[in-house]
Amino acid sequence: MTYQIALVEDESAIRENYADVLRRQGYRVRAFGSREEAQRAFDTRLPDLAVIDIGLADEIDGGYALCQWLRSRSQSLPIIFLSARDSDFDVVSGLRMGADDYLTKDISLPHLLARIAALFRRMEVMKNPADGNDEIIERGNLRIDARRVDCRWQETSINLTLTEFWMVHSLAKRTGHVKSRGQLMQESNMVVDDTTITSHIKRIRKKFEAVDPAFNCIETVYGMGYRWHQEEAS
Amino acid sequence: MKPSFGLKSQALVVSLILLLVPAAGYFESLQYRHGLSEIQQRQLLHRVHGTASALESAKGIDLGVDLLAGHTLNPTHDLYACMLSESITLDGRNNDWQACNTLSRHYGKNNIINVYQHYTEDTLNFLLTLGRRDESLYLFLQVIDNSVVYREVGSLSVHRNDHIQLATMDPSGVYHRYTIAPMQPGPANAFLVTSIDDGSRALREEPQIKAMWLPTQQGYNVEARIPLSLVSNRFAVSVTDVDNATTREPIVTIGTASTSDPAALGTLLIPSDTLRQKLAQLDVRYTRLSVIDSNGRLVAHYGDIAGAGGIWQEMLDDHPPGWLTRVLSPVFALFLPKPDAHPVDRPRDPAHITGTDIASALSGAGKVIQRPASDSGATIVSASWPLRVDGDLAGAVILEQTTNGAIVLGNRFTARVMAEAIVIALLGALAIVGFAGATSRKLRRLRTNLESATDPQGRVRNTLPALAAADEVGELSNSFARVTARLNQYNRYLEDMARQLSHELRTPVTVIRSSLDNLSMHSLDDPSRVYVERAQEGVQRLSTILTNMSEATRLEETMNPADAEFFDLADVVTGCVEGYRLAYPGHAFELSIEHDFDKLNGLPDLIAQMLDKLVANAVEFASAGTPVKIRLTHERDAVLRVINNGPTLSNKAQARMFDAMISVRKGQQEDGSHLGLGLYIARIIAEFHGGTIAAYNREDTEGVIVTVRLPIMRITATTA
Repeated sequence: MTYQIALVEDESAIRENYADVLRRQGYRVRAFGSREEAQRAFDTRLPDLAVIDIGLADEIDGGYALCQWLRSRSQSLPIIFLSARDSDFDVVSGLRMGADDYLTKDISLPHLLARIAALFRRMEVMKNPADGNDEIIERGNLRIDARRVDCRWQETSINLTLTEFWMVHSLAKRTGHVKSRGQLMQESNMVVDDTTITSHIKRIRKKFEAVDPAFNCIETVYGMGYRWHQEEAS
Repeated sequence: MKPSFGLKSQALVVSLILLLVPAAGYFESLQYRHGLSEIQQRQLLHRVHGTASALESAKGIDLGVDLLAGHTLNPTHDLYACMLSESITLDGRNNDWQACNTLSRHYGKNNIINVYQHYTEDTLNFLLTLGRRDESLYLFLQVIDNSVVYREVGSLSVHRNDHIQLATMDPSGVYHRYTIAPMQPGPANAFLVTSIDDGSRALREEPQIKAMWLPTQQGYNVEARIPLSLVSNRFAVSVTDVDNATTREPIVTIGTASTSDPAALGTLLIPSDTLRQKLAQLDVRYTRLSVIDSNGRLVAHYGDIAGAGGIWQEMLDDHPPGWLTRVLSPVFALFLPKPDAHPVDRPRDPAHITGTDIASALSGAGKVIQRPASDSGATIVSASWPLRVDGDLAGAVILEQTTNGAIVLGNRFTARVMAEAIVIALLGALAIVGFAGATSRKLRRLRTNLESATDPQGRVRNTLPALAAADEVGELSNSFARVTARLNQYNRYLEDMARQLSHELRTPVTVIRSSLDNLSMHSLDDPSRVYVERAQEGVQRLSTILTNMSEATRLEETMNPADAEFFDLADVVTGCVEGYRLAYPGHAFELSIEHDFDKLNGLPDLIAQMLDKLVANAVEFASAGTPVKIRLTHERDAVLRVINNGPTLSNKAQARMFDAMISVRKGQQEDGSHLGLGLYIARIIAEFHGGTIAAYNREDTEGVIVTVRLPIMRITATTA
């Protein structure tokens, strides 16, 4: 089946460019320039995935409002924030609103497509849980299912964003091997700076620590990057 | 920094103007003194008038006005007996005549009564002094005679030798003539001689008249006493000289007037004791009261000018000086006039007292003057009033006082006024200086607040606390608070600018980028593909720049003191340098570390990030083939140095290289994305850890040292 993607973006040039590329990928695209327009359309039918800009025309936080409104309609609908805002605060706020991913507009179209594809793949895997496990990594308490985009620690699912997921995935794939910030950025399809990487790592640690206070597998190697530190005993 | 001429000093200078208050008091008191002097003069004139009236109404005052009516005083004939101050011993010496010696009169060739032979002044001349003591008239003659011839022993004749003749009218108006002609030096008697002839015959001895004849080197002295009962106001003295003891012929007779002619006698003024007693009865305290006759001769005086305050004495007694005046009196004594403690004032010539006031009184009008005392520095106020007897001008009354009382009183007034004024001025100055001190304290506090409100880079560190002052300083402080708040806003705006800019630019970049991406997905011919790829590269670079631009802001947002932990700085540095050896394969890194640190409290990720920036900068500017040195030393603080060889910094660059968006070193920038944010980020991190960052040129060679000082054990938050 063809997925329908809703694109809510007030800048028409960007909107059309994104719509074009998504259509070329075979998605059905419905593009909206404002929140009201989108809500009217969503009232009759929800899309399969929504890409939402945060600042919509006159509404600075129109995207947040739309996200909340969509979440109230559907818990499982994948939502991606695509924004020019790149501060930690905005990212955290966006994810708290219930978005599945938060991307800055620097992202190249291939990266965007990859992230969208990843989300759809997660949806599909959840619908068909029996699907293969070739993409599964297990490292002690950690279990990562790349196809389902699912990460578990001590059998508890860790609710990671896509970015965070790919970072953990990248670190865990080769334990003990130091991943530089640049590498992490590349493998999680991010165009951000060191500071953002640092704060992502910090958030990932916190999410693991919420499940297991003794968690200390992500090690900082000053000046180089991070590595997954495998503790066999635990 | 202390101002060189602060408000307090200025207030001190300003309060100098308060010195005008004592000065004004001083000049005011001068008026008062002048007033005192006027009052004294007027009072004295008033009193002398009263005294004159009192004397006029009294009976029995004889100033000898009848004798001198229409007669000009001739000092040769008209004699004056002065008041002797001591009792006189008849010994022929004048050492007890002090009070009257100045009144001696010389008689010589101009005073010849009769000349019988050739006369030169060497032959005979004499000094005559007359005085009164108690009820006697005293006479002292200093005769210069080249040859003294005494009366022959047993001779009844008293004129064929050196002799003295006295002629007088007794109080009843009868003429008498006496001769003193002793037979040898020593006590001598006087003989009453016939009044008609040349006086050669002695009628009888007059025992009431006593004399002493004392030979001297030049001649002889005669000292004689005549009871006042034998004397009235007509009198003459003559001396006859006989030089030849054989022939005994007289040579010359010299005298005040002819003693043989009753009508030719001169006058004699003897100071009146009755008048003196009368004056004593008048209650004229602290004053000298004199009565003179119409020729200015002192008839009587009573009282003394010395040692009293004159008309002010009672006032002085009633109003003693206050304690403040007494305390300050040594100061005032420096410039206030001093009263003469022992004023001495004697009439130069009691036989002829002068003065403008006296002249005025003797011509019929009372007058008061001030004059200097004769023998001291005191000033005398002298008031004279005409004295009339039976309607005729007979003389004058003179009242004299010193101005001492007025001076003392005036001094006290000046002292009191000035003492009060000084106290007022001091209180005023104290108030002004205190006020200035309070104001300057407020201003200093404001200054301190203001200076601490911004950091050395001029950024607003904290908002200014408003001072709780209701005055202009408070207003100023509020105004500064507003200004710094505005400045703060503006600074934030500027700091936000990079982020805003990156935000605003991101949308058009996205348009370009998504368009290029779309384009590259179409099948393109080779040349087009090359251009699209180049455009994509450019957009990628632009995107990186935008990311960097907002990095500092995002960094500040992640710097949460609550996340601080204790960590080993040496470990971080060692790890980082390992990383750099991998990251910059073309460069050598020299690391030296002291390990004896306490753990640092902070965010190790940030420290690493800071070191990243410093090393990136050092590598960028390092000359080819030279190592970058990283040193960690313990110098009370933890000191991290990143040293390279390469281009040096200008002074300006040293000061500003850690500011945002400043790229100060000349160098090739590989990626073109260098916006000078790296060092700015390093500074933010160093400052977040309570440290400092600074860059210096190397002294040993061309190159730069960047030094970061981080305080050890700085507790920004408690960590588990």
